[in-house]
Amino acid sequence: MFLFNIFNLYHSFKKYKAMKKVKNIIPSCLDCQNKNKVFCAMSTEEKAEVSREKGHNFYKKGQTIFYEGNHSNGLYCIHSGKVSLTKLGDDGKRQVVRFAKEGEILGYRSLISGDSYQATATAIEDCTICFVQKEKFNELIATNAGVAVNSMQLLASDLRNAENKLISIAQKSVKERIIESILLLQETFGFENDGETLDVTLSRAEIADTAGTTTETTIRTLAKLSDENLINLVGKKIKILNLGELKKACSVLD
Amino acid sequence: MEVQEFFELTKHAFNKEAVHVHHYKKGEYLFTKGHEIEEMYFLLEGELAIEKNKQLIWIAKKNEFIGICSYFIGENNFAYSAKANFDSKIITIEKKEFDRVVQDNSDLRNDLMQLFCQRIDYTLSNIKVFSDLSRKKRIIDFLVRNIESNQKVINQNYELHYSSTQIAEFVHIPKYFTLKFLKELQAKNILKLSSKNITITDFKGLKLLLTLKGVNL
Repeated sequence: MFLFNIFNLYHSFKKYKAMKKVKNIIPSCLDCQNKNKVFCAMSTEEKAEVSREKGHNFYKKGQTIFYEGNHSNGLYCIHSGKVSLTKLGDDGKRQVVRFAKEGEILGYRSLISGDSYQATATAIEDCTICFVQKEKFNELIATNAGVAVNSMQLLASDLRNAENKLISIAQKSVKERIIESILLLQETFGFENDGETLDVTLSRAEIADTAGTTTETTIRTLAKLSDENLINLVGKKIKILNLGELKKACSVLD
Repeated sequence: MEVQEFFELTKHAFNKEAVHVHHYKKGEYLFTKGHEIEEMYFLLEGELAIEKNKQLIWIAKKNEFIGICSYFIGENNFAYSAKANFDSKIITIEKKEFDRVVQDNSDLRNDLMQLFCQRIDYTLSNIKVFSDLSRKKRIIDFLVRNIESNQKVINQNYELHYSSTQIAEFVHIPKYFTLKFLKELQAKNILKLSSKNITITDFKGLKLLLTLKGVNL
């Protein structure tokens, strides 16, 4: 028992040290490896200025970055980690709007429209996120045509994804929607080194929120897909066994 | 002269030679899915239904650019169709000219960004409507949102120029069900149906139905 406690204490200390190390690294925009679409259009001088003025934070898995309805005061740029953006329905049901990973930005739509944040951003794994003040982002959009055009490309792609989700909810069965959510996760986060396991861990409730259905139906449907040898469930992890068949089953190829 | 209004609205940012005016009759298509993007469109008068896979995704109103989503994604062909809901006057702008003005004109860029935000908000609300609301409430929601965005008030009644068939297509609900429910609302003196129009006589009553959690809704 004593040895077990020592072992646990040692691992907690190691974890704490690793987290502290991550927390202490201040990412710089100048040598950022994440090729962010909006910031790519900035000149070296602009990047240096943004880097000097920006802040950064470390968020633990499950921590909220900003809430739906909060006054929008800046732009969040994910340096590392994964984030989910959700909206709350009138009945308290959560709907996943999208997922975001390193290199992606959050909150830009609210800054452009001047509204409050339209969704709640939550870390689905430990994240390091940079923060650019609203005024700085607005100045960049007004003075740099490249930043503005690239922002519009992001907005266009958000719009396309939202429209596809609308069509999916209006026209597709629950099974098709759950498969589509698995494919969305694959497209966003990719596979682990084995080339089969999705590189993201979500609870069944979170998958249900993505597909716009209940947790119970999600559990039943995932089990069915596993019986059909399309996927394999290992705890919270999902392995895709037959990507082609999975795509066919939700008419993605149509 | 017809194009003059467009130039005033866009603060003379576009070259006259690259801009043309076209008229479309109700039900006519400006373009269908797969059509090559050679020009951008601006709706000067009328209304357009933007559809994808037989699903209405947006209703374009007066003074709005059409085709911007495919354009900014960088596609060569449109991913959706645009159909005139009413007789419509359309301005076409050659793609090269549109490229030039997007790069040069920050006012146009701002307008387009606002339009994108508006469309994303509308689509996200629609997702909520489709996943949370019953079929009847989806019909009510459609009527309420259209009245709130149009504000056509005649003698304290609100006029919507849609037939029950069009509404059924918009909300993706069978035509017979939509007509039956609209007739139910007519019996409750909430609206009046005619072949091409719907007149909402009790807008407050209609909005109230959205908040009720009754068995019949």
